[in-house]
Formats: sequence, C-alpha cells, structure tokens
Amino acid sequence: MTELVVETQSLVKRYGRVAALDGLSLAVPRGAVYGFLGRNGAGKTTAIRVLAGLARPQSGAARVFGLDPFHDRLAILSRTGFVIEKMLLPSMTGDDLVRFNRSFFPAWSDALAKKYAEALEVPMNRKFRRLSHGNRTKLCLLLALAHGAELLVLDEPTAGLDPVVTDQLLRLLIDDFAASGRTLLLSSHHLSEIEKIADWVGIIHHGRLLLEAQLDDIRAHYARIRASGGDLPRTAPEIVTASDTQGVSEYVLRSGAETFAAELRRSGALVLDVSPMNLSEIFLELAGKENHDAAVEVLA
Amino acid sequence: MLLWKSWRDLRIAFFIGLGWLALLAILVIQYALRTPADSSTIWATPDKTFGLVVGFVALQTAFLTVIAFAIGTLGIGREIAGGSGSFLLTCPISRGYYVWTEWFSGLAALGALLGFSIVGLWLAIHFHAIRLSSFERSGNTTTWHTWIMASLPFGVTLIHVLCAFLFLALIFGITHLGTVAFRHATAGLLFSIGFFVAWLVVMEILRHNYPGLAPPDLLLRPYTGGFDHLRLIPGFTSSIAIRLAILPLFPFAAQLFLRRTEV
Repeated sequence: MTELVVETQSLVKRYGRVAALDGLSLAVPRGAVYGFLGRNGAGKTTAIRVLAGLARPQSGAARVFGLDPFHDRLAILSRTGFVIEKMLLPSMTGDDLVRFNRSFFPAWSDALAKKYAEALEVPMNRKFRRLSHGNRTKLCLLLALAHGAELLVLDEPTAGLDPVVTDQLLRLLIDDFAASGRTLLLSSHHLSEIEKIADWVGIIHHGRLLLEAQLDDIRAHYARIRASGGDLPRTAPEIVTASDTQGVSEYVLRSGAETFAAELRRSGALVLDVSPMNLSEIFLELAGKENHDAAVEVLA
Repeated sequence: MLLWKSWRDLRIAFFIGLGWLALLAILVIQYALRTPADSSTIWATPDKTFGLVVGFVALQTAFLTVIAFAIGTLGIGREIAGGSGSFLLTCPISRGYYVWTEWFSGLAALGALLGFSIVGLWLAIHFHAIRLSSFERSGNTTTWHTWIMASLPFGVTLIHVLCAFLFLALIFGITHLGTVAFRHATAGLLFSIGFFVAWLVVMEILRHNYPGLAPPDLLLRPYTGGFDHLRLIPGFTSSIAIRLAILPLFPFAAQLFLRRTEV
C-alpha cells in the first residue's frame, strides 16, 4: 500500500455562507509530484492553508505525515516547506532572511541556500520590499528548499513569472527536489506546467475534488466518444461525464473507450469518433463547465 | 532569532526615545551645573530638587508613552496585516513564542529607556551635589547636610520610575494585545487609545457620582505630601502587586487570540 504524505477526508471550510472547501478528499503519495489544479477560487489556497495549520476546517480531517496540521503543527512545519503568499519580511534582505530562518530548522543548509541564490540569481543584499515579483518568489522558494524539507507545498509558484524564470524554478524543483524522492505538492492553473512536471494530478472545483489520477493513466486511458442514435446510456462505471447536444451524445470515459464504443454500436448508435484526451481537455471538461454533479474520480 | 527580529522591529522607536532622553538629560545637567549654589535656586533644597525630579520623570513618561504606543503596534499582528503571516506562522515556532518574545522585548526596551533616564537624572543631581559641597566648604550659608538631602531623591526617583514603567508597560501591553487581536497596527493603536479614554471617562463619572470612592489611578502617583513629610499613598504596595499581576494577562490574551487566528 502506498504511503500517503498528505491526506484529507471530506474537508469543509466555510467563510460565512461561502464554502471554500466542500468535502475535499485528496491523497498525495510519498515521492509524488502532485499537481493540484483548479480555477481561481476553486479552493486550492484554502486547502493548502488547512494543511499548513493556518486555517481550521469546520469538518473533515487533514493529515500531513499522518499528523494533524492544527495539533501537531510544529512537527509538520519542521519537515515541510510551505510557500503560500510570496511575502516575507519586507525590511529584511535575503541574507537577513536566511539568518532569521536557519535558526528554526535543524536540517538547514547554508551551502544549499548559497547554491540556490547563485543558481536563481537572487540579489541577497537587497531588501525584500525592493525585490521584483520574480525575485521574491525565488527567495521564498530558496528558503523553503534550504531547510531540507521532506515535503514542499507551493501555492501557484509560477503565477506572474516570465517563462524564463518559470523554467528555472520548475527545473530546480524537479532536478534538485523531487529527484531525491521527496514529495512536491503544487497548486496551479497553468496546465502546461503541471503536465510537464507532475506525475499525479488532482482537479478541484468549487471546493470538491473532481479527479485524482496519475498523469500516465490519464494519458493512457481517458478518451472522448461522440455518438448519435436513439436511446443511449447515461450512466456506466467508466463514464466520467455525459452530455447531449442536438442529438449528439458526448462521453468522457476514464477507461475502456473501445469496449464502450463497441457496446454503443451494438445498441444501434453511430459512433462519430473516439479520441484520446490530454490534461487540458479533461480539465476543461471537468472544471470548465458548471458541472456540480460530477463524481470524484480516483485512479490509483 | 525572534529576539533579533523584535529588536530590528523596535530599534527605530527605541533610538528616537533614547535621543529624546539624552537631550532632556543634557539640558537638566547643564542647568544643574550652571545654577548658582544658593538658596534661591531650584536645586537649593531637597524639596525643590524633589519637585524637579517628579517633573522630570513626568516629562519623560509623557514622551515615552508615545514610544510605548508605537512599540505596541509592532510585531506579529502588524506582520499578518502586511501579508507576512503565512511565512511567519509556517515557521516551526509556537505562536505563543512570538507573543512572549515581542512582549519581553518591548518591556526590555521601555525598561532600558527608563534606566537611561535615571542615569541622566542621577548625573544631574550628582554634579549639583558636588557644587553644593564646595559651596559649603567655601564658608557660605548652605549647610553640608544639603548635600546628603540632595542625594536622597535618588531613592524617590526609583519609585517614580517604577510607577512610570508600570504605566508604560500597561500601555504597551494593551496596544500589543489590540494589534494581535485585530491583526492591524492602526486598529491596535485605536483600541488602546479607546481603552484609556474610556477608562478616564468612567473614572471621572465614578468620582463625580461617588465622591467617597477612590478608583484606581492609571498613572499611579506614589507619594502624597511635600518632600519634608513625604509618604507613600495608602495601599501602594498592593497597587504595585496588582499591576504586576495584571501585566502578563495581556500577552496571555494575545497568545489565545493568535492561536485562534486564521491567516
């Protein structure tokens, strides 16, 4: 059985009458690069805040390394690097922040901090408030990486960065962090980045997880079928979504596309096409529509 | 490292306070050195010297009140308002540690400032005492026991400074609590000012309606009577003890607020 580093069960977090998380259940295996996808306001940041012990859910449970983020906060934080808001202490320079941060982490490495500062070209003698957005993000990441975290949780790490800096950061995360078997959970709405680096994907929409799967499974098994005909089936175990537009039924299937197409043909339907789906298409299918009834899909 | 951060946060307010105290001390010392040692001057008798001491401490306290308000608005509450909360609160440190470190740092800074003020005042008294002593040796009318009496206000000064410190600590503690509770420096400051204004209004109403009642005095004036028959106010020791007991309640409350704070 795969060991889970992060696990949530039916998390509910409301702000007034708005449910930021509405029964979120996700599972991040050890060593995974987990892309946490969702539109703006889907609940990604709230979920990460709950994991960091910064927000308390009204119901449900969260576990990081098997520990409760609120009650075992310090044990989790000493092993995890969180980058949520890209705001550190404005009056401190990068060097000051390194000096401040290293005292809290026993596994802190000055050598790593120096290496990342040079690799990412962060001006360490400049006050944080005077850094560009890109350099701020890099500095946040540097601090999270240099304390030897086993788990890195990043909220939209590449938001607002230019393609060069984005590439630098992603390369660093994969080559230096994930390659050593450590777990990376990063939220984003940039599908291309996630598709490039993640091996697991979770899609959140309106505070609920609509899909959780290994990216390879998605690539290998997810397919779209368009068919027309009389009385076509609306439910089946392999159907993720089914819709009907002007007499043409469209199915998104998690597996068994060819078998399902054969059944449709047997029932007298005309199968117009069967096409594999990529992550973007699946994301748009699940989160691009106001589809509140989509069931949670978990492919392990 | 949190101490270091706290020091960085409050050092500007500290140095402004120190500059003001130094300026005031220089002025008083200059005055003490230039004033002729005869019975017409303010330094000539212990009673007059005592009056000067009280005035000096009051002036210092008035200015340090502003510094206490300012220092109270620094720290984790302000950082959360500025967006640094998620960084600080994801460091593996208990939230209470932030509150207590800031509280002790703030009190230490205020205590140090008052300490400097004592040094300035003591130097002024000391220089003048030397002048009085030589004046007596030259055969003039001032008796040498004036020298001893001029030194006496140092003990009195300590009591005044202790009371001033407790007052400043109260201001600092309430402002710090407000800043943490409301997660905003300005809100914390307004909460604190509002508290003191409300206190004064309520006390005035009580005094007006119940003349026999002696409600607690925030400033805690320690003495009654002139220097010759100087005595501590009734219940002075218990007043001090109550204040010392109340002071840690503010960081306790701030700690509870911060524990429940969501960022």
